[in-house]
Amino acid sequence: AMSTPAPSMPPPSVAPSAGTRTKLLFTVINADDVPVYAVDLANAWSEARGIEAVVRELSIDDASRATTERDDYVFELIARGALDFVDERAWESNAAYLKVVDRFNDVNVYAYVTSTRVKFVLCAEMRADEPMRAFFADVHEGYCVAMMNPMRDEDAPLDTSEVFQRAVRAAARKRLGVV
Amino acid sequence: RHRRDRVETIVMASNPLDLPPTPLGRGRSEVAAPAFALLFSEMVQYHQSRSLDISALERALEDAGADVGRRSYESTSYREKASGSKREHRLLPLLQFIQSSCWRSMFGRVADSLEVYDDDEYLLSDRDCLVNRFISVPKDLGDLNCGAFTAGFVRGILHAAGFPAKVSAYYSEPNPAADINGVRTTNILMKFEREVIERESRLG
Repeated sequence: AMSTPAPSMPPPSVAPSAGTRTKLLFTVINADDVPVYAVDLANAWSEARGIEAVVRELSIDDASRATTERDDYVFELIARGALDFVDERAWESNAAYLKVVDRFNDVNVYAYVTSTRVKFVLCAEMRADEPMRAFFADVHEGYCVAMMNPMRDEDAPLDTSEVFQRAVRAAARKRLGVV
Repeated sequence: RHRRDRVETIVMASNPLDLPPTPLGRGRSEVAAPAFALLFSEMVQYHQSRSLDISALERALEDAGADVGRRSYESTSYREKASGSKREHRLLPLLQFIQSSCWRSMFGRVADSLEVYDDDEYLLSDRDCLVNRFISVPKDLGDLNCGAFTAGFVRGILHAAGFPAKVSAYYSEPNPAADINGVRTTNILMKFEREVIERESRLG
């Protein structure tokens, strides 16, 4: 009998259900605990989704809009609050990927620490270890390239770095199924 | 076919953020020594004209080295350790990484030795310190050692990795048996902060 090869696992989808907005907050915090980058991967590049984004926007009622706006701050609060756990875990092993360091209701906090103690923190409502690890590794490479710029200080915001933003965007699309 | 590929890339990326990411690559393995010597000599002269005394000049060279160390450590670590999946969280493996991988990426060879003096003092030795190879210090500059740049390089790495230390460079006593062409060995002395020693003993 003919057997077809098993399809490779698609990256986990962040397509939100109608009327709600999924958050996928990615932040970069430097060694001195200064945040240098933050982006909502699910919604930052929504202009690329055209008509679907417009339809989704129109279908959000006022109550859930207020909820999602409040959620913006909740995700950031969750990411900040998890930093202590990231520091604890960072000294426990020599792994860069620390997996889930904290949980808040349905939100999982994934963390990754580079050699120079820069922390990548990702808050997501989904649960998927391997794609997150691959995402962080791709972003780490982009961070190395951005860091080579001798004009860039340790606490300079990374949203001025086109190299880094390209890496984040490509990694989010390839590893996390963001469109 | 090559030309067609490039045109396709330009057409598809209406948003520059959609361009494919820049890879870190393997790094250029060799740079001409005279080019480095010229650049370094200009840097020493630049700082010399702005420094009031020898220690200020050495500090300026150390700070320049620290910047280089911090940046190159991230890239060297990413390349050497399975695309960044591992890092150093203990002192001795970190020092061994500096002695081998960091030295190789910067100077093309490993450092000659790594010794421990006290529980908080470690010493890296380099018989043929690239930074000092083309430098001759006039008598009126006394104790100046441009290996301060290398000391700063190590300090930058240690600080970035979470092991702050005071790092200085000094020449060994002349040793006809070991010295190459009469050039004395450069020693990099690292004295770690108390918090580093305490954390190391806590981690056991």
